[in-house]
Order: sequence, then structure tokens, then C-alpha cells
Amino acid sequence: MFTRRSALLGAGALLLAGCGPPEAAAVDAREVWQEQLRASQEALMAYPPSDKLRRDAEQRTILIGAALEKAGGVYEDRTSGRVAASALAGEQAALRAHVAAVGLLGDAASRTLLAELIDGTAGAVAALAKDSTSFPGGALNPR
Amino acid sequence: MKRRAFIGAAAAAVLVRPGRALAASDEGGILLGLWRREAWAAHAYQVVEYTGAELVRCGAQEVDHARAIATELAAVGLGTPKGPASIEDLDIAAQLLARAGTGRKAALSAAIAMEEGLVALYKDALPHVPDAKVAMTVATILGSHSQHLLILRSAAGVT
Repeated sequence: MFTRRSALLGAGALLLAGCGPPEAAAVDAREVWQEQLRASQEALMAYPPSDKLRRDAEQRTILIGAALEKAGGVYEDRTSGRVAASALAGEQAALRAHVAAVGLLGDAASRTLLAELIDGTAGAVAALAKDSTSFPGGALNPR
Repeated sequence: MKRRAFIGAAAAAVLVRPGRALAASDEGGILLGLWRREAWAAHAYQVVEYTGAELVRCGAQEVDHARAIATELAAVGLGTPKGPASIEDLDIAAQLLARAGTGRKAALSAAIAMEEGLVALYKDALPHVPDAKVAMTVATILGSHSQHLLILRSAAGVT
């Protein structure tokens, strides 16, 4: 009886503390931004030098680099020499990475920046593909 | 003592619940707002007299968006509202598109203005969606509206 009562009191204390069940492992924002930078840089390197979309792509890598530094990382070349097969393939991959990052980073500053990145990258995909899709950047979550 | 422990647990649950309930309520409110704008946009694309391929495609994709948001509404325990019955039910931006007539220039101009509003709406919403899966849905639909804007501006010769 004592054990049962203790367990109940313990559960109540946990509820009061707002602990609940164990949560998934904490997200490392630095790693998330490193991945955004890698995807964005691989897309950037696939643009021909004269492409007018290249400058916007470069601006996006700079914004990501600043976010990475704010998260404690280093703004550097993260491509390890890899270049996307085409600018379109690269931007599609970057868009998938940005949408996935929305699910990992919930703070307002990250979400605001990711919204800007998704806006610009999705626009670049449409400009390169000359088409739009209902759900660019990945399949919808199964419900 | 057993009864007291249960009462304590219940009290704790009451203390913990308001925050979560509030978050769910906020999320539902955001989703309802997004659904309405998608339904209004879809209606506008469907009734505008000019039927260029770009507009037809955007309209079909707005229907996809509304369906996806309806799924998220169901996930937070809310039903799908009744869609617009007439142009008068739409917001101003959608009404302007619906009434743009047969001219290509006027229709594209109205569609661009409406899509600009949708991009801004989704950008504003994204930081306020607590659920990760719902946020990803909002994010991918934001991307779609950004694409609509790019395609429509290209068609209109606007850079």
C-alpha cells in the first residue's frame, strides 16, 4: 500500500512539474543550421556564374551562415566538394531541408528565418522548373 | 490517502492542462484562418471569367491546400467549416480576383495581389504554430504560394 501511494504521489509530482513522459532527444540547433547551410551551398555551387537567381541563392547561404554562427557553429564551406546535379535539384533538396527544419526548430526567430528561406527557395524552384506544385519541399505528414 | 493522491493528481492535471489547451486552441484558430483564405482563394480562381492555364493550376492547388488544412483541423478536433457560397463571402483580395473579368492583365494583377497576401499570411503564421507536423504543412503550403507568386509575376511580365 505504501509503495502504491508513493507511486501515485510521485506521478502527481511529475504532473505538477509538467514533466510527463520522456520527450524525444533535444534538437541541436547548430546541427540543423549546418545541414541547412550544406544543402543551400550545394545548390548555390550548381548555378552557372551568370544566372540571375544565383545572387539570391548566395544571400540565402549568408542568412543561414549568420543563424549558424548564432547557434554556436562556424560559417564555412560545408559541401566537402559536393555540388548538386543541377541548380533545380539543389534548390529542391534545400527546400526539403528547410521544411524539415521547421519541424525541428520551434522558436520564433528560427521559424521566421525559415519562412524567408522557404519563400525564396520555393520561388527559385518555380523559376527553374517553370511550374508550381501543391506541396513543394516534401510529402505531407501522414495522419 | 489513496483518495488524496488521486485528488492531487487531478489537481495537477488541471494545472498542467490550460497551457496545452490554449496552444491547441491557438493552433485551431490559426488553421481555421488559413482554411478560410484557401477556400476563398480557390473559389475566386474557380469563378473568375479569365481562364488562363496559370490561374486554373493555382486554383486546383488551393483546393489541395484547403484539403490538407482540413486534415490538420480534424487532427486538433475541429471540423471543416462550410465553404463560401458566393463572391460576397470572400475577402476583398479574393473578391477582386473573382470580379476581374475576362482580361488577362486584370486577372493576373488581382491574382498576384491575392497571392502576395497569402504568402504574407503564411509567413506570419509559421512562428505561431506549436505542433511540428502542422508547422511543416504550413511551411510547404507557404512554399506553394511563393511559387504561385513567381509563376503569376512571370506570366504578367513583372520582375
